[in-house]
Amino acid sequence: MASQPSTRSSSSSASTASTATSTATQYLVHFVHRHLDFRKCDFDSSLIAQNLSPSSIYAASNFDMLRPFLICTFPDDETATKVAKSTVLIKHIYKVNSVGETTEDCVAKSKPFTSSPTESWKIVFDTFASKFTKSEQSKIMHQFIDLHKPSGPVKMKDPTTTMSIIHEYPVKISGAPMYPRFDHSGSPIPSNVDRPPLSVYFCSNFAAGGRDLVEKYTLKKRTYLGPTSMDNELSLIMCNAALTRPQSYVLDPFVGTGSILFSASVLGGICVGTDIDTRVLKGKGEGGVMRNFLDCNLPLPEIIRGDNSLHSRLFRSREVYDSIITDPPYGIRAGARKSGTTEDRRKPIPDEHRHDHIPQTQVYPVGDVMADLLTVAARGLKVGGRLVYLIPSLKDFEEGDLPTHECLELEWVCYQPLGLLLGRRMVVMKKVKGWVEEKEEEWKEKCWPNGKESADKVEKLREQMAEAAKKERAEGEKQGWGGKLHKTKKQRKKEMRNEVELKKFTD
Amino acid sequence: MKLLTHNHLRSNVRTATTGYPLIITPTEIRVTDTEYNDKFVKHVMQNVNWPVLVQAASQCGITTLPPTIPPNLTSDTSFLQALHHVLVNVNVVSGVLKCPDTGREFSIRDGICDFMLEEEECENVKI
Repeated sequence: MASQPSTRSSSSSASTASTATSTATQYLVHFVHRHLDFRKCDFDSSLIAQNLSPSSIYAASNFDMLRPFLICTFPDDETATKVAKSTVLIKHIYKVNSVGETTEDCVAKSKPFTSSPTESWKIVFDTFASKFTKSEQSKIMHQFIDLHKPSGPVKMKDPTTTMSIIHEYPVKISGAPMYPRFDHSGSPIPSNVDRPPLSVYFCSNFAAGGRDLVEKYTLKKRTYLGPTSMDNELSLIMCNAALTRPQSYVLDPFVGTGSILFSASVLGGICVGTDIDTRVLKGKGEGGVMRNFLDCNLPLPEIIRGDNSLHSRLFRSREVYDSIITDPPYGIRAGARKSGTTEDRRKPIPDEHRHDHIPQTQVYPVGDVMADLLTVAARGLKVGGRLVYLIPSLKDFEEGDLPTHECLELEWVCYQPLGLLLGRRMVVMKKVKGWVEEKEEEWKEKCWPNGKESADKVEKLREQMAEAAKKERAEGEKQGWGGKLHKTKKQRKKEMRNEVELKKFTD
Repeated sequence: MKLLTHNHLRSNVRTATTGYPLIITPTEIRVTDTEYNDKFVKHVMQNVNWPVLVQAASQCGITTLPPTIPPNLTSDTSFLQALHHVLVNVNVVSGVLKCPDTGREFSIRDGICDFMLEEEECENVKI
């Protein structure tokens, strides 16, 4: 169900090698080595969006979180191209010529890679978690060339066939290479230890992934931004996980600067967004939420200023949306608000001020934000539709603490570390059961399976983080190293001043 | 505000019994051009209240919609295209929405409808 723990078994490379003997065309998927915990969710979602079942494409046991390569079998070339284009976490999909456990093995198993004497070709060299010098690379390339003696001309620019020799080496859990060949200064590390690769692939380049969307719509190019604008890559991953396709009907109940809906529009969705804060919607002269959509010629979203806690009073219809994608406010960048006031003594608003009166809002506790979000999703989504949201937390929050709803089934939880203390999860839920109006309150009550405590763990995260950092510093000082490691800015400035003074004095 | 959204919206004032449909008084209407998709129109049509759409369209100056849904809706492509135009392309950029029960007015400015409630409207809010 949820993301799988990284199981690094020595059998995995052997099993990929053994499947290489089967007759069906094999494809090698090369993932970007980023967002490691999101890759399986993202890839499976892309497959499901193309009406493919992940188990028919690859064996789940072959998927290793730490390995960026995966051998798959697609029904045809067209589907493979579509899958590659639909996700930002795929770099390239290759067609496999041969897979070996060592270079020699791969050379021995390889088949001729050009078919006619007029076919132009080139060979490129790629390595994961290791390095080869130019002369080593050329030596390996010539092993393939000498074996097959391709008769066509070599062409470095736009050849008919581009072959890739890929050496995959293991990495540690931290992401560092298991067998580094060069140190930080670039000089080779002499080692007598054998460096066995995980796999060596010889394959032809086939279809590039959808990475270009990340650069094309990067936040840097947008006119309207705010502190809550979501990183383009992650928002595209979220939209993909929500199975956003052309003409999907998408809702973001906490739209803010509209960065998630922007990505949904890029993927072809028709978007509706609501937010309580009119300042982020209208902006300060940049044109507000609509600006970026207008700049990039995307269909404009429908923006409504309203209160998410009153969503069911504002929207009549049920079960219309294909996906609900959102990053609710948790008080790190922006706090949540809802209509109403907690003040008892209120002066009545005089009639002459009524036209431009700004209604008060009150704090909206995270526990209620989440309960309302799940209720909105259970009510608004079509059966089979998906809710995707982010939830940040400190170390003490576990997957069992996540809010639940009778109508929604947890599909994926992907963890993204955001520093030593903080991390956030992308949660994907699928609507599995029809909405029953009478059960709204009953279902809402059961939102937090571990009681109010879970909600308290994500409440006031900024304060919690400050407290945790303070505690760590105190602990460090007690052990004698904290003072040096955790100097405040003021202390550092003072020390620098002292040094300058001292230098003047000694000169 | 698109007419598709208008079809889903109702007044969120507590005292309103149904608050539906909201009465549109447009001051500016912009017609955009978006890609037509057969599947999307058919999907959203399942949730559209037809008489309300006809009424809303006439409030925006479009009087060509028939008073009842044509029976052979799924096969009539040119009609579906026209429907897509009415549902998605017609945008009320500024104007006023009025609650049919209470007369409360909600403004539309720069295409954004404002459904924020005043303090006194919230006092009985079930939260």
